[in-house]
Amino acid sequence: MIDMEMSSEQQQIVDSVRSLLTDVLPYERFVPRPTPVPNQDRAQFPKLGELGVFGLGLSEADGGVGYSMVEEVLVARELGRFLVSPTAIATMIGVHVAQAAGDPELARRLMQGGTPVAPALAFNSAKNHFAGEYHLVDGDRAEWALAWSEAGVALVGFDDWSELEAVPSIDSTLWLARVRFNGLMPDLRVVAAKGLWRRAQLLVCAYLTGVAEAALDDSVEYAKVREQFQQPIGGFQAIKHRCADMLARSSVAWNSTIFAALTDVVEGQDADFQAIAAKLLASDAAFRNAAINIQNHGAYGFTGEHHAHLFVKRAHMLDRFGGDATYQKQRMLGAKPPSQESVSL
Amino acid sequence: MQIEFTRQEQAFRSEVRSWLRANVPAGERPIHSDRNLDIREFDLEWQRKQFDAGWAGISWPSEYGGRGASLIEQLIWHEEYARAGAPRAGSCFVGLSHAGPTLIARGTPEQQAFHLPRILRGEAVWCQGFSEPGAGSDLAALSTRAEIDGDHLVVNGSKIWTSYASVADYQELLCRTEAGGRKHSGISWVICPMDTPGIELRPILTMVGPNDFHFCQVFYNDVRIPLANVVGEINDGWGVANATLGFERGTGFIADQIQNSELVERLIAMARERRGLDGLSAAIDDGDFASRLAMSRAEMAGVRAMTYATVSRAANENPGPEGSLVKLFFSEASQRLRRLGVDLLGPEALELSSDAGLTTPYLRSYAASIGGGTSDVQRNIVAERVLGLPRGPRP
Repeated sequence: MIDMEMSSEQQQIVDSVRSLLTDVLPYERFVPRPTPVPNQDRAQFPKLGELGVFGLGLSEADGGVGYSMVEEVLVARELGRFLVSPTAIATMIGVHVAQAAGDPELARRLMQGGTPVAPALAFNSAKNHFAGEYHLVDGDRAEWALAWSEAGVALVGFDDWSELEAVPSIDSTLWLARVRFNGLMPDLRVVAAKGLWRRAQLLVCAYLTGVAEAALDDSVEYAKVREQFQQPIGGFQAIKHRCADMLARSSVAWNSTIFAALTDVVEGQDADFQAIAAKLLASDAAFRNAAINIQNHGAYGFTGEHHAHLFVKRAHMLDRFGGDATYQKQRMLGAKPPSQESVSL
Repeated sequence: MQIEFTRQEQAFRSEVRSWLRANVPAGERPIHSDRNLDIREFDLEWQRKQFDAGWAGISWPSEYGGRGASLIEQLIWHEEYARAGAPRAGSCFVGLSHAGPTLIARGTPEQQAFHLPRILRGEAVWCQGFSEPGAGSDLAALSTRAEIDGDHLVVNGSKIWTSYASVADYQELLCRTEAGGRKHSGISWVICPMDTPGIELRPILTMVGPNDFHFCQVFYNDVRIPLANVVGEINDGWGVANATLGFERGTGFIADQIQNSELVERLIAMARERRGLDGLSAAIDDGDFASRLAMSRAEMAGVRAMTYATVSRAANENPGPEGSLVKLFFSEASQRLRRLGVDLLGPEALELSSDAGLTTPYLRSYAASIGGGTSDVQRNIVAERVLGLPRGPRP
């Protein structure tokens, strides 16, 4: 059975998340008045929590909604489309960390959305521990950070942060700080071998794919209405061919992500390989589509009044989450490819 | 959503695998050139072997003598076919993937009864007669004329880029049977026997090398073809040709994709063994090579995911223009990969005789974004039919 299409139930999940995000987190929230407004997405997180976004993939016995990684990936893609603060992704992952590491109380609390988890982006990915320097994203007043290294994924509580220093952020809509985690092995952690990092990676891939798709939608919409030389610019091959390439890339990114997720679900031997490939392709799609979207908008795309620049900046933030493309390429070459002999997934 | 092969599908895979392992021809496929009839014999013999074992026409419905395999079984067949290093369909391709399916869709019972078994049994080679010197991407601008004279058509004009013309028995010929009117109407799809008097061939040299006459220009001087050879309604050739366009996309590329995945793995292994620029460390330690190898590995994984998605779509509904997306991405990714191959070779890349055998496929890869619909046309299709951007010129 090869079925990579959404079921009607999955479509309903996507529709309900999309409809909530359209209501509570529209792009208009990014319009500077006149200077950039601090990110307030987390104020809406309890509504996302109520919808089940943060506990989607946790079993019902553990208080979650009981779906699989696939449904989480579908939702993460929507979060990317709406440029929702990446704390939402970190919170989704954090729920699994808390539950698996033996703190179901915390898992329940994170699921409700009132306690956002800040993504911690490692400066260098440590091989077998979590200590080191990180960037904390949208984490002012956060209680928890999600650290990610080759050792696995961990929740690091506020008490274990040191040398916190807020720094100007490339993305003015996301507060950024440097921070040091001193504990080598935080209590709430899931080792890499358990594969939770793949779920984390694929949620990031899905977010990046959502960014790439949103940039495409933005370009297509604009190319249909913007007129120059007495015609919509979308009629010019220079523009329409770029849009076709954007779709090709976002489509490759999406299908690789979902393929990797489905491979993970059936515990395929090449699950690592697929998850790394997906990250490279999703990152590439987000960066390139974001850049082309700016080009397609001309000077409007270069302004800080239009949201086009945010796609670029989110791509940078998410690219670093779990290790950037340069790092993923090293891992890609080290990964075990799907076996030529046994193709059974 | 699910990707998991059923027990039956896994059994099918092992059956295919063991048959291919035992039966794939041991010898190399002969070099393809204008006067080389060996290739015809080689391709037909391999086709006959598949027919005798019941594999011929894997995608054809069983009532027409095909295998009637499900879409997933076709995917498995093509995957195993490539992994076993089976020779490409070559001169049998047009018959199996184009002419045959067209006859199934639009041919008369007589046309079907005569031609389909010959294609399946490896007794007839078909070539394509679509493009013309003046009608490439704008295929409907074709001007090869066919005038009705009694119960025959009299054809005059020229076709071009015809692969295997010199070894073909039949050609699927698109010609203009009615002048004036809209350019997509007045075209007919005709079975043209290649031994009809008045047909002349001019082999065309390709950029691949001094002996590579991959295709021909075909000239028609008062070529008389029975009217009974028209497939579908006369003047409805455009519709007939489009009835099976999907066969060139979707599963048609799987074998090529597997070969490319294998090429990536081969290049990675090669880069681990060969010395890099400094003559000391391995080529893979070079940042540029490492980066490109990693990206190619990811891209080929991406192509596979796209193919599975296309199969999934096709199983659920009709394959849409999404096939164009796969072709667009795949052809350019495979060009990058083949360029990487020759870059890894370094100086040896300049020698066509190089043992590594990477230079010739590299040169051939320039055709990937042209043949079967240029990447530029694919982009138009995607932009207009999927994204709904304004249409370009349609005179």
